Parts: sequence; structure tokens; C-alpha cells
Amino acid sequence: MAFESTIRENESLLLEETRQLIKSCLNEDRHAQRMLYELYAPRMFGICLRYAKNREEAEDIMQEGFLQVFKSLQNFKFSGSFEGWIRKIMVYSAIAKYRGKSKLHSVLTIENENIIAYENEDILSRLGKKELLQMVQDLPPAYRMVFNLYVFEGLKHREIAEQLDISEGTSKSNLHDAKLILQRAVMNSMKIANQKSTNG
Amino acid sequence: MDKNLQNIEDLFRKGLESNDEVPPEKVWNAIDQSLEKTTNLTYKKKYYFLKRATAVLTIVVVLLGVYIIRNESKNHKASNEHVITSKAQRNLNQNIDSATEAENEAPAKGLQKDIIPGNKDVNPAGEKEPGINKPETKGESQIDTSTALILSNPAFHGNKNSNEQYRLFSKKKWETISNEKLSGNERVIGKEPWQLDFPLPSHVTFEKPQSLFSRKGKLNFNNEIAPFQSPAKTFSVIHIHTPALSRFYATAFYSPNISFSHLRDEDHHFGNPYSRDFERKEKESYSWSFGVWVGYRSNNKWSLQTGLNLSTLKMNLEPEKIFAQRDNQGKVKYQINTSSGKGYLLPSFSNNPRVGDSLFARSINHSLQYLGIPIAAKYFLSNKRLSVNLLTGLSANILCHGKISTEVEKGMEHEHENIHEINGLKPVYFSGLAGFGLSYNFYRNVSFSFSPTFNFALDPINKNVPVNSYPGTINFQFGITKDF
Repeated sequence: MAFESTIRENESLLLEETRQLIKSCLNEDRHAQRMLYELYAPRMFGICLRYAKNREEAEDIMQEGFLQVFKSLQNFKFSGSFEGWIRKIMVYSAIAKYRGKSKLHSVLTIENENIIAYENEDILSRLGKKELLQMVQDLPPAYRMVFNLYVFEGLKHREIAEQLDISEGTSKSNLHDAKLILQRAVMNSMKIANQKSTNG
Repeated sequence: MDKNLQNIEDLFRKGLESNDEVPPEKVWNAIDQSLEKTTNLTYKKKYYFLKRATAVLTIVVVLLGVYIIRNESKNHKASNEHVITSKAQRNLNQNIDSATEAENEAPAKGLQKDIIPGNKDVNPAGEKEPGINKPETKGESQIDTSTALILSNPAFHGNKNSNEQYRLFSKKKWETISNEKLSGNERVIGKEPWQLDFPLPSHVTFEKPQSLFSRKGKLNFNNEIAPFQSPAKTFSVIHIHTPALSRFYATAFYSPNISFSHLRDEDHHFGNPYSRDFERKEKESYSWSFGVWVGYRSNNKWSLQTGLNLSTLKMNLEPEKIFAQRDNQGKVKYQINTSSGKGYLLPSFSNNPRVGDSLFARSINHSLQYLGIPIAAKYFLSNKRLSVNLLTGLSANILCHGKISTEVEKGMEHEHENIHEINGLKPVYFSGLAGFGLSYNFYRNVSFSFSPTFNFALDPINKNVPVNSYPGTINFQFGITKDF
């Protein structure tokens, strides 16, 4: 009980600090803007990395996203989670980037293969976050976008279709293909990892 | 298969949901630069309104100036040409005839009762006029030009040998004067039905008497004369009205300023690398001034004025790394450089630095406060309540206070610092003044004025520093002036 109350106190303290920080940012206080950036940058960069094909693109998304955050701060009504609000902006920034390049995006034809089932815990113990991230980044842009929006943002196919200006069927199909590609990539990585451990 | 795919979703969700990673510094630098551009754009937008307002006001002032100058020249022309209209000439003839009749009839009331045309000194009853002095033949006494009503005796108009004379209401009494006595500062005023029906002396200007007459045609300026009616046939009436010139005046003003700086390397044989660096990273911020002018009008066109004012100059510098160096006393402190001079600081979390140690200084603000003692000459043109003026002068600016405030940080430590001593600032610098103004007399001797004035440094505000700074401001002085 005491632990819960301490958590609540900490949360309200953080909320108050964030509120003050936002107010200072609205006055164009560069120090406050930097502090706000530093507070949320690691989490947001993690998100941007998933939506980008490489670090450079992630940096671009991040930059555009944070500029939009500072520009739109006066629209934040303190009614919901500030982190959620920033996250939304980052995702929109990624979508905008994707839509800007959408004509160049290719779609692959994926063939089904025999799948060897692994337990997730087993995979996670053998593959690092870096490798998983690389797999997502290696997805074709359209697949990566649908996969991210569906799996991490929890959007429905109808919503994804609206956001990306595609049909619902395309969204479903892209998600399916993305998962197949990732599955194959995971299997390949596991094979290599197994071989290494056998040789080692 | 579906189960495996479901596993893939979970796998990546678990693996990447909390994949926090610190972005490289260049991301913030790019954001910082873009924000700087946005801020500059905001400032531009802010100043856009001010610029437009200034442009509109400038046009209004110039147009008013042109209007006043045209009016002045028209009046001058009218007086020089001694225009006698045919109507006026007719009146003159009638008046001469009537004057003879009036001599016999002795008008019953008003001024007609008091003054006999054709006779310089004697009233109809043959007595001395009450309040009217005998004509002064020697021409020694001076006319009080503050306020006067003048009656001209047309009986003399046709007489070339006569020294034309006027009946003058001055200092609350009547006197007869010759035109030689008119000093030239008078303004002669005429209004229907009292036409100006004889030539004026060449040095007297003619003007319509809106200010003297009410809408009903009664005189406003003196209750004693208010019931005075048209002298009808007997006399032509003209009025001299020369408002007393208020010699002294004082103006209290407040002015928002747009400030700027011209920078130049003290040793500029190698170009101006230091100046260029400061020009890039230093931005002028909002500044203000307020003060008092006191002035003396030497005539109705020129005045000399001086006063006191307090003004601020504010600048913001981009955040930057600062390094520990030896100050003038040989102590090692962190040095912060501005275009005006350098300051030293020693934060509590790093109070014993070695030469070369560094800190990060954020939000560097730099402000200077000066007491100005200006002296300026003012040329002005007036038309009723409005006047426009041009001003030029010099100002000695005495340094009152210089301050650098910043927030320094190192790792998790940070501290706010105020530096009250800026090395390199001169105690006094001189600046030139040039501007124009518009003033509106809204109540008796009180006027509202607006004067955009350009204030530019004639010598640098600092010395023995890498960069010499010549600050300038465009002041938008809003003031209230009281004449004494």
C-alpha cells in the first residue's frame, strides 16, 4: 500500500515537472527544450529506429518529430499521457516520411517455407535486440510500416489503411508477408547461432 | 503456421518495445538550429507589425508636414500680395462714405460708439476713449503680440500722405498704432462678414480666424469682447492674434526600442573573424528606454532641448562551451565572452578549475544599462494642434550597469550565474541622434508626441577587447509634453 502511494507521489511529481518544462518550452526557453528532448529522446529514438531502414533515416524522423513536438506544444491539453502524445507525433513523422517515398517502395513475393518452431524465450536469449531491430529495418518499407503500426501501435487494419492510403486487404497482406520474412530471418539467425554454439 | 506467426508478433513486441537508445548529439544540434530559425522568424513576424506601423506613421507625419508647409506658404503668399478683392474695394468705398455719416450720427452702442472714423484720437462725444491711449507718434512702445484685436480706420486708406493707423486691443486696452509698430510676428485674422478690405503691411500674414470665432460668429478669445458685433459700415475689422510662444517645455517619454550592433575587430587587419563569430551567435533582444526632455524654443520654428534618459540594451548568445582562464588578478575562472566584453564566473560545483577546463553555458543573456544625457536641436512646423518636427543631436551615454547571466552545467550539476562586472566596457560612449516626430496638442499646453529616433554609437562602447561594439537603437518615443 505504502509502495503504491510512493509510486503515485513520484508520478504526480514527474507530471508536475513535465508540466513546468512544457510551460518553459512554450516560452521558447532553449534550456527547457533541451531538457524535454533529453527526457524523451532515448525512448523516441528506439521507436524511430523501428520505422526507419537505418540510423540516418531514424535520425531524420526523430528530428522532424521533435520539431513538430515543439511547434505543437500549445495544443497539448495535459489530459492524457505526454509520452503517448510525443510518441504519436513520432509515428506520424515516420508515416509522413514513408508517404513521401511511397512511390519507390517495392513489395516482395514471399514463398512459404517449412518452419521450425522455436520458443520466444529461447530466441530472445540467443538473439539480441540489435539483431531483431535489424530484421525489422531490413523489411521492405511498406511491410515495415504496417508491421510497426499493427504490432507496436496496436492499430487496426482499417486504421492502417487510412493512414497509409492503402486498402485494408493490402494492409493484411503486407502484415502477413512481413511476419513471414521476419520468421525466416529469425530462423536463419537461430541456425547461425546454433551452429556457432555447436562449433564453439 | 498461424501460431508461429503469432509468436513472431509477440517475439518482436517483447524484444523491441522497450528498445531505448540515446540518439547522437547531431540530432539535437539539427533541432536546435531549426528552432533558432523558427525563433528568428517569430521575431521577424513580431517586428513586422511594428515595421508596418512605423511605415504608416512615417507616411502620416510626412503628409502632415507637406500639408503644414503648403498652408504656411499659402498664407505667406496671401499677405505678400496684399490682395484686395473687388468686394473689399467696394467695402472700402462704402466704409469711407459711412464713416462720414457715422461722424454725424454718433453710433449708439459698441465700438462704433467709441471710435470716430476719420478722427484718429477723439470719440464721438469728443472725449478720450475709455481704455484707449492716444496714438503714439514716436513709435517707441512695443505692441503686446500675445493677443490683439485690431481695427483699421478706412478713412486713412485712400490718403497716401497719412501714416496708416490701426486701433489695437492689446493688454486689455485700446491703442492706436501705426503699421510700423507691427513687429512682423503678428498673424492677422479676418472672417466673414468682416472682410479684409485694405492692404496689410507686408510683414503681417493673413489667416482665417477659426480659432477666434465661435460657430455663431462671436469672438472667443476674450469675454470682454465676446458681445462685440460687426462694426458694420463704419469700420473694417481685422484681428491680430499671435499666441504667446511658450518658451519652455518638458516631455516625459517611454520608448520600446529595436536594437542592433555594428561589430568590428579591434585589430581588423586580418578581416573581422571575431566580429563575424559574434554576429552569428549573438541576437539582439527587446530593449527600452524612458526619460525626460526639457527644451527652450528660440522662436516658433527652432528649439534646443536636453534631458536625461535611462536605456537598456539586451542581447542573447547561443549556448556554448566556456573555458577556464586566468582573469586580470591571475585567478583561474571560467571566462564568458560577449561582444561588449568578457566576464568571469566560478560556479560552486567547479570552484577550483585548471586552465583549459570547460563548462557548458546555456541561455547566455547580456544586458547593459546607460544613463543618457542628450542635447538636440529641433525644427518644427505647427498647424493648429498638430506639429511635425525634425531632430538631430548628440548624446553622452554613461554606463550604469552591465550584467551577463547564464546557466552553466557540467554533467548533472548546473547553476545559475550572474556576472556584474564586464571587462572592457568604457564608462562613457557618445552617440548621434536623428529623428522626426509628430505632436498633437490635445489640452491647453499639453501635447501627445510620437517620435521615431535613430540613435547610433559614434565611438565603441568598449576597448582593449577583440571586438569593438557600436550599438544602435531605433527608438519609438511616446511622450507627453507640457509647455510652460
